[in-house]
This record gives sequence, structure tokens and C-alpha cells, in this order.
Amino acid sequence: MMKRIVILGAGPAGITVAETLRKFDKTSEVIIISDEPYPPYSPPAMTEYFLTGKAFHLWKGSNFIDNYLNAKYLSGKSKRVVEVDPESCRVVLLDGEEIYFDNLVLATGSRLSASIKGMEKEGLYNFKSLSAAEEIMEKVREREAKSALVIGAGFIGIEIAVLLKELGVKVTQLVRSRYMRGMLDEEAAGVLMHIMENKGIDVLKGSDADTVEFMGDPDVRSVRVRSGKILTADLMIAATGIRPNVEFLSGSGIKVNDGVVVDEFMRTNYSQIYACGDIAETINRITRQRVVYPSFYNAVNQGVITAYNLLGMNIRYEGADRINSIKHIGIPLITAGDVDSKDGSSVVYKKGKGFIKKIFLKNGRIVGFILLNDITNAGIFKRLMDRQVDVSSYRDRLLDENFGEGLLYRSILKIM
Amino acid sequence: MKSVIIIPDRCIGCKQCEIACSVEHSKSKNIYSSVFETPKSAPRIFVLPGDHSCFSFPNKCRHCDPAPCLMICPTGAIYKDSSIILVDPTRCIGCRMCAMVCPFYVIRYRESPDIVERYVATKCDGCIDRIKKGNIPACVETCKTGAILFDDLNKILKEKGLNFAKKVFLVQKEGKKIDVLQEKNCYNMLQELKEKLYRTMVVEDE
Amino acid sequence: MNEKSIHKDAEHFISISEKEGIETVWNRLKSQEPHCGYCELGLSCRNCAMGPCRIDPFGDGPQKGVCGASRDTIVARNLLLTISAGAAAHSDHGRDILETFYETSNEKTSGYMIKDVEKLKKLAIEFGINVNDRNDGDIARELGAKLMEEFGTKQKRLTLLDRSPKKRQEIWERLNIVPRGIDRENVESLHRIHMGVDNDYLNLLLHSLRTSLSDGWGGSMIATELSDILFGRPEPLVSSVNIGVLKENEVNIALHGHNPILSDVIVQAAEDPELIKIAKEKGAKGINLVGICCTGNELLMRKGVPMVGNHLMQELVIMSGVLDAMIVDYQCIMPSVVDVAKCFHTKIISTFDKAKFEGAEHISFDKSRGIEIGKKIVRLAVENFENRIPGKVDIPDKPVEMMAGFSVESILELLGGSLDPLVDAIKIGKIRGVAADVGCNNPKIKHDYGHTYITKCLIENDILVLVTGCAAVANGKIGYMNMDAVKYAGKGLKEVCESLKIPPVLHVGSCVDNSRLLVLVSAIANNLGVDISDLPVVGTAPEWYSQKAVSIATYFVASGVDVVLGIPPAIFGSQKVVDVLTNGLKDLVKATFSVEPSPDKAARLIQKKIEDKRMLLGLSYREIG
Repeated sequence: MMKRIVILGAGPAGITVAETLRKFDKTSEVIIISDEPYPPYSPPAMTEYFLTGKAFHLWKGSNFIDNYLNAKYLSGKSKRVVEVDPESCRVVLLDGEEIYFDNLVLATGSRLSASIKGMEKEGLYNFKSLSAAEEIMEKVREREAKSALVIGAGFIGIEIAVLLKELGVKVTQLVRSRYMRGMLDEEAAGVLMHIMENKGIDVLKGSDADTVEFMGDPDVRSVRVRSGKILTADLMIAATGIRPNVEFLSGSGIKVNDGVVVDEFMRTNYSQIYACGDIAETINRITRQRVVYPSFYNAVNQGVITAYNLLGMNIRYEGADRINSIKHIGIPLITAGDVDSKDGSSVVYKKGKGFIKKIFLKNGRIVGFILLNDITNAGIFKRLMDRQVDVSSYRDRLLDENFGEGLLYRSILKIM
Repeated sequence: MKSVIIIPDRCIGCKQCEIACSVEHSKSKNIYSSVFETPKSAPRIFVLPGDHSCFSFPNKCRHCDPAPCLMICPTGAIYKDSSIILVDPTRCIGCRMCAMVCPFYVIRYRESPDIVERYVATKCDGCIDRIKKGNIPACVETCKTGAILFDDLNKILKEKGLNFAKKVFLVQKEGKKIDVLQEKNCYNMLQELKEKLYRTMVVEDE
Repeated sequence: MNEKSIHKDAEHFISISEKEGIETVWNRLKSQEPHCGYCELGLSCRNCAMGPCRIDPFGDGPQKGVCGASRDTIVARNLLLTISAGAAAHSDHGRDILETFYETSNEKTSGYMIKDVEKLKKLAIEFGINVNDRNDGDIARELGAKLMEEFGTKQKRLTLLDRSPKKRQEIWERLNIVPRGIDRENVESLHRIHMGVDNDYLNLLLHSLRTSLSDGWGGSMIATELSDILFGRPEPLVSSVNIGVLKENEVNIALHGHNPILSDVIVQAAEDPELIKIAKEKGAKGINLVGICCTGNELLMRKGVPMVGNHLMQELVIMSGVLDAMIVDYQCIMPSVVDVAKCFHTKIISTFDKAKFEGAEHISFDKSRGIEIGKKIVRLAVENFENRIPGKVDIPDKPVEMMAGFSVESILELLGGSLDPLVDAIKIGKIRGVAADVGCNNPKIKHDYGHTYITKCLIENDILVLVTGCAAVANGKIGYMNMDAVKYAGKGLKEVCESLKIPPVLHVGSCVDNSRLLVLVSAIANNLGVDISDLPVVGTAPEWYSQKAVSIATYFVASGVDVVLGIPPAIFGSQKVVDVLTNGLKDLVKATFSVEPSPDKAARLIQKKIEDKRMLLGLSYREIG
């Protein structure tokens, strides 16, 4: 009997599940359901798309689902899933359509979140999805937006601020504490701020950057910050944080904590239902704590593991990574792991002409690193960190010019 | 199936594979004119030093399966063609995500002849053009010490195994010294001397 | 822990260079790694356009060059080229001195005179020149002309070979390696290296010996002799060494390179009252000269000019921020000093037309206007004093006292005019033997570790150590070359040192002054009526890097002195060449090379060689495990 696998969401996680499935299983019926009206796209390439107009974001091509996945694709607002019934293996769509499944994959991603007064009002834009981004771009293309206020200084905040600046919009960014808090330490965040300011972005800090309320009626027209100032711009863009799209699961019996709780095989509390990507609550590869780490890399990795387990391979997920490469700031910047911990970690540090490199260690093992404008050995550091290799015997050489695969592979010190 | 196989013991650090690789990936594919090209060609294989140059190691793409770089590429620029992982420079946005996850650090960012506005991921392409013409990869062709081979891995393993078995047989049957198990050559001699020099640099923990 | 030098001053500046991103020799070594194994083994040949060729050391790949040259031919040819370059460097240096000497005898120079008439006459007599009732200029002119012939084809045999023991000369004659003309042997080397000339590795190695002998008993020896005549014979003196010899409140000028022709007039110019006056106007208290490498050693030996450092210090001393000029002549000057100087106010001034440095100021030296040019150069340094960057002044150590000036003549004088006391001390075993620690620095080994470790082991075991070149600075800096160092010496050596009031490590001079060692060992051998190879004498170059060092090591071996090298030379690609050099030469010239990078093992090997020689001489000997 032909199996039916339903995948909710056509983002990186959902598409990867389908793609990996198809490598091994050409016969099962695959249905992908998405409420976005676009072919599958990759969010990290959106900026490039808007900058160049070329479809970089369609990373699997525009006809991927039809041509390669041989899957049924239900997309658009009316195809939003409103109910999941694990007991009868059935999902219900907004237009009333009921779909039964043998296996269900939850990969509905995440959306903007902020616990700020006035958050629910209209006229507040974000850059979390292609639909949301298109709304911003329309304003820019129509020349309705000449200035923008970007609230937040995380990964997405940086992307949209740089993109708008490149497109000729006057950008003000509110940086409450520092750029990429949690992903960069103070020094690197300082360098990043310098870069942003040099690009011509107006950076507001401290109480001038701490948003208290979105004001305007009915649409958001300005924000009030803690210092009491009222800031305004043509475009108000929130990049304050994201949260998993899990509301439609309430009452379904599927266990949800910060995100959908999955085991090491990416299974929810119902063995026929899996979850992956931004909505999944997994474990941190190194600390083994339960986390929701929304990122393209984790989404894709989890998608692959989900597919393997759908196929019955019983492959464990090693854990989610906190790692990112910050694009479009003019220099490469890679940050990974725990770079902000105060307890018991030591730092290997090297600063040179135009670059800063830092490796954070705990108990002789790498727990995080920041590579700013020199990404030499980035993947090797990640490998040593992922495997929690004891590097204490060569810790001082990690940032040497000659450190690398050669030294790891061929050492008279027998370090590996 | 044949693939590029590295025998690290045989690498003597001459870096000729780096040069051959650069030339192969230049526009002219000619050593004399390639040095005048803009952008300059660059190698995709890297001869790295071991400890204080007592050893060397030719580091190149292993064409992993599954390949983390391919998985993470957000534009689909990295793809696979008959077990070789390739980069389409026109689709690469230079986001460094692949370098971030490549466990061997064999992806670099360079100007590409096709793309002028940004640095793009550049990596070993398995000399796919040469293979299609029935040639062997450039690094393999240039390596005279047998450190880089193009062969069937199973065949090489079998040969090595047989060779070792023969030696063990000699030790057991003919009472030859156990030394025959360990190949000694003039390069080993030099390595030993270099290791001694290196020791003077290291303050041993007392 | 990784350390690059044994010295406080060096480590201080190395760590600063790393923090500030100032590139040094250690960074460049790292970026060159891994080194090419073909080249390290001597198995690459790029002599001709049928190649370049390389031989697979493992034996599966190509085993012959395009021309058919085997690994043995290629390794031997490469070695001959190395030795030839080294011999040429010393000999061309010798020729420059000779030309100055000759012009001085014609009164066509400024700033030079015949300082040591006694030595002039002695040397003239060796060349069969009548010295009675003639003025010095006449003698010098005739000697100069004769010495020029030593470089050419007219001679069939170098004259100064007569200083060696008869037995040694017979060995050379038997092997047909008696050097004829100094230039000739070098030119013939280049000829033999050409494709299709000398392809027999043994024949090539024999010519290597001959070429090196043309350096040691020719070019270098002439350089030493004439430098003594022109600039004065070294006498024992006390000076000081390390970064601390730089003075914050004076104009500091470093003299770097090898040839004393220029530096001697700089010393004269620096005493010029007018220049001192200008210096004072600029706020300096005076003009302070310091030496680097062998130019420094030449000045230290004769004038007591303090040494600021050796080869690996040349980039670092600039980082003191108080060096107003570094005046360079030639050999062993890293082109990178120009780049380091760009980060500071230091002026690099090149002086010889055959040795220019991109980015340095070039003032062409002309011996006929020596003093004038000397003053011009010193003036540049003085005027640069005011450009010092106050925040960059950094002198991280206090100077160490160091004795120097032990020429063969001055050693003889110390001994009361005869070698007997020294020979007797060796005979009864107070001094077990003599070791020469010579040669360069090399970033592949911890800076000065090889020199000082070996020296310490040797003097502890009653072996008198003679040092030249960078080895001398290494040992001086760590304090083995002042009277205080006698405490490090073994009982017997200590007694001798105390009675003669000499340190256990004697500074014999620059690297061309290794020829003094040939003269000394010949004299000892003649005193005993034996060959040099019978003496308990060993040479060592634990940190060598240059072609000159290979030439020196080879003329030591060819003269009968065993040599222990610390850095492996590029010969290991040919087992046959290795066998000849480390073993076969014993039958040919009664001395061999050894390669021992571990200073500890090298020291024991030297000790063993010395005790073995003692045994063969019938003297008391110790068993060395």
C-alpha cells in the first residue's frame, strides 16, 4: 500500500525532508502544504534577491516540487492548516479540506515576535518571510519609503538594515544593548557597529533604542523609546525576535514547550508525527540543553534526519548548532557556539591588521569562536567544537598561521 | 570507480600539485601565461605543514557524501555531479556558509573569471573536465612521489594489504628482522633530523 | 610552550612583533612551510632547460633527470654549487680588502693606512718578497700584486697552503685537490655543474673540497691577513653585548654585514668633532656605534665596538626604536630589514654597489673618498636622531660584558711567545682539546640554543672553545665570554683560564677569520710534528644557514678537522653522497662530517671525537658513552 507523507511548510526544513525522502523513496505520496504563495525559497538568500533581482533565493529552482519532488503542493493563504488530529491522522485546512496522512512532518517555521505594546497594530513590517519582505520592497520600489526605522539588531535586523541602505533608504537602527547579542562578544559587536555606521546607518543606542510602544492609529506611525523620545520613519520594521508557528497545534495533543518537543529521531510525542526546522525544540549539540535554534543550517540538518527516520533508518540527530555567517556587511564574519559565557572559559585571541579571531574554551575544549574578517580554519574549529576534542595540548597554536588540517593530521606530538 | 586517493606518507611538501591545480584552473591552462591573468588562478589543493614542517599533508576536498557544504548552500550554488561536489559561481553569493561547515577548510573565496562583483566559493572540482577527456586530475599527474593517486580505492587497499602480509610472512617464515615492516627511506631520515630541530623550540613540560 | 630564542631581548621583541603584526624571519619561515622535500633532499635540479627535474626519493617515480643525471650526480652538483657560492662570497670579500690594500699602498685611498707593519713584513716574506731596506708602501705594493695573482690562473698552487703541515699538503696532492687559483676553482665549479661536464659524484665532491680550500687557505685567509694589516691586529679587550648596548640618549648607528672596509671609516667619521657637535645640537649626548653580524665582529675584535646582536637579531634590534641608522655592506643582510625599518624611524643605508636593497638609501662607497663618504653616512644618522618616535623607545635588557680580540698572534703573546704552554696543557689533559663553535643562526632551531648549549657542555668538560661569527655573539650574550664565565669551566680548563686570565670561550673573529683557526691548528700540529687530523680538535656549526657556512665546514674537513653540523644539509637524497661525506672522507682526508641536530647529542659526539683523538695520540683519554 502506498504511504502518504504530509509535510506542513515549504521552507528549508520541509523541502529538505521531501528532497531527502525522494532520494530513497520514489513511490510514496508526498503532499507539501504551505501558506506562502511562492515556490520554495531560502531566507538567507532573500537579500541577494532583492539587491540583484536575480532569483538566488529559489535555491532548488522554480519548479523543484513538480519536476524533482513529484509531490503535490498546496499553497496560499487558504491552505493554512487549522487543525491537526493525531488520533485520526488527519489535518484540516482553512478552506475546509481534510487530508489524511500516514506520516506528518511539522515544519511551519517561525514568525516575528515582540512583547512590545502596540505590536499587533497594522503597518509594522518585518523581514522574516518572503511575503513580509515583499511588502517592504513594494514600499521601497514605489518610493513611498525614503526612511526606515529598524527595531532590533539581531541577524535579521542587520540584513534588512543593510539591504535598505543599499537600496538608498535612510536607515535608523535601534540597538538596545549591542549587535547580535548572544552571538558576538562586546568587542566584535563594537566592530560590527562601526561597520554599520560606516555604511551610513544611523545607530541609536541605550535608552534611545529601547522601544516601549508602537504608536499610531490604526497603523503604526512611530515608536516611543525609554528615553521618552518619539521616533518616526516612513517604514517601521520590527526585527525584535522570532517565535515558532505552533498556535495551530493547541488542543491537538502534540507536546509543545518553547517549540514542538521532539526526541533524538525528530519525532513528536506521536510516533507518526515529526517536527523539524524553526518550530522544533531539540537539544544543543554541545551543552545537551533543550533549545529552539531557528536557522537555515539547523533546519536543513533536521530535515535530512527527519527524512532518514521517516524511511526507518533510525538515525540520531546530533543536536542543533549555534553558528552563523553574517552576510552583506562587507567582510566575512563567522560566529559559533558560546561566545559570551563568563564562567570558566578561556580565550585564545589574535588581532591583526583588520581582523579579530577568538576561540572560547572550557575544560580544554572549544565552546565557541568568532572569526572577523579572517575565516581561516572556520570549519575545522567547528569540527573540533562539535566533537568536543580536547585541544589543550595545542591551544596556543589554534590561531597560528600554520594551524590546520596538516597539523591535526600529521603531528609528531600525536595530538589527535 | 576511480577517485583521488591521498597517501600522506608519500607527500614531501613540494607543492607541485598546488601549481598544477592553479594552472589547470586558469583561463589559459598554461603555466607561463596563467601567471599574468587577472584574476590570478589559485590552487584548490593545499599542501599544509605538519608539526614544524616535519611532515606535510595535501589537503583537498573529500567530496563528502552527504556534503555539509552542499546542504547548507542557501542558493543551490553547490551541487553534485557524479559523486563530485561542484560550485556554480554564478549562483554563489559568497556567504561563507559552506566554509563555516566544511570540516577540512578546503573551500576558499576568490575572484572568478565569470563573476567580478564578489568573491565566490572556489573548491576542488575533481578535474571533471580532464576526466571527461579521459585524463587524470592535474594534481595526480604532477605528483611524482605517489602521494596523490587516481585509482580504485579497493584496489589500493588490497595492494597495500597484500604487501604488508608479504612482509609479515617474511618476518615469520624467514626470520627477517621486524624492521622490514617499517619502510625506511631517505625522506624519513630527514624527517627525523628535522624533528630534533623542532624539539629545541619546545619547552617540554617537566 | 614554544620559544624562538634563548634570549630575553629577542623573545621580548618577537612577542611585540607578533602583537603589532611586524613580519619577521620566523613568520616567513612559517609561511614557507612545508618546505619542498625535493629541495631539502637535494634532489631537484634546475640547471638547464631540458628540466627542471626532480628525483622521487621513494623510488617509484622518476629516478633520472632528463639528461640522465642520477640522484647522486644531482645531489653532488647541488652541493658543489652551494660550496662554490660560499667560497665565492668569502673570496670576493677578500678581493675587496686586497684592492683597498693595494690602492692604499699607492696612496690612492682616504682613511686607510698600513697599521701593522710587522704583520705586513711577515706576510711579504711568506710570498718571497724582499723586505729589507724597503719602505712599507713598496712592500705593500709588491705584496698586493702577488696576492692578486693568487686569485688568477698564473699560480699553480695557493701560497698560504705552506702554512699547513707537510702531511696535510701530501694528502691534498695525492687526491689532486690542491687549490690553484681562488677564482679559478669557483669558475671551474660552475663549469663542472654545467650539463654534460662532471657527472661523477665522487669527482664532484672532491672538487667541492678543493673549492672550499681555495676559500679557507685563499680568499678568507687573505681577507683576515690584510684586514689585520690595514685595521690592526686584534688584541684582547673587554666590550659588551646585547640590546642594552644601545643608548637612549645617543645617536645609535648599527654596522651590519661583513666587510670592515666601510665600517672602519665609519668609526673614524663618528669621532669627527663637527658631527658630534651636530649630534649634541640635536639633543643627543654623542654618537654610539654598535655591531651586528661579522662587520660587528671585525670592529669588536679590533676596536672594542659593542655588539648589539647576531644574525637573527638584525630585524629585532630595529624594534628598539633608538636605532637611528643601520649601515649595511654585504652578506647575511635580510632584505626585510628595510620593511621592519618602515615601522620605525630607522634609516637603512646600503653602501656597496654590488649589494643594494630595495627601499634602502644607497650611498655608493668609494675607498678613494673613504672619510668623506663615512662622514656623509654618519651625518644622515645624526640628522635622523630627531625623528625618533618617543613612544617606541624600548631597550629591554642590560648589556653583558664580553671579551674579544683573540687573534693567533695575541694568543701566542698570552702564552708567552710559544705554543708550548697550550700544547702542554692539552698533553697533560688539563685541556682535553679544542672545539670551534662557528656559523650562523637559523630560525629552524631555537635562536642561539645550539651554540650555547654545546659550548656549556664542552667547557664543563675541559674543552677550550674558540668562537667566530654569530656563534661568538651567542656565547657572549649568555655570559660565557667574560672572566666570570671561568666558573662554568671544568677544573682543568678553569686553572688554565685563571692563569692566563682568559675566558673559557675565546672570540677569534668574524667568519672569514675562521682562517685564523686553520693557522692555529696548523701551528699546533707543526709544534707536535703531526697532521691537523691527529689533533683533538673539532668544529661545529649547530645553527648554520648560509652557503658560506658550508664552505667553511668543508674546508675544515678537507683540512683534517671533523665537523658536526646541526642543520641537515641538502644531501640526504643520495645515500652515496651521504656515505662519502660522513664516512668515506675518513679514508681520503682523515676527517668527516656529522649531522646531529640535537645539541645534547652533538656535544657528546664532539667530546667523544676529541677523546678518541687523544687516545690515538697516546694521551690520557676518557670513555664517552
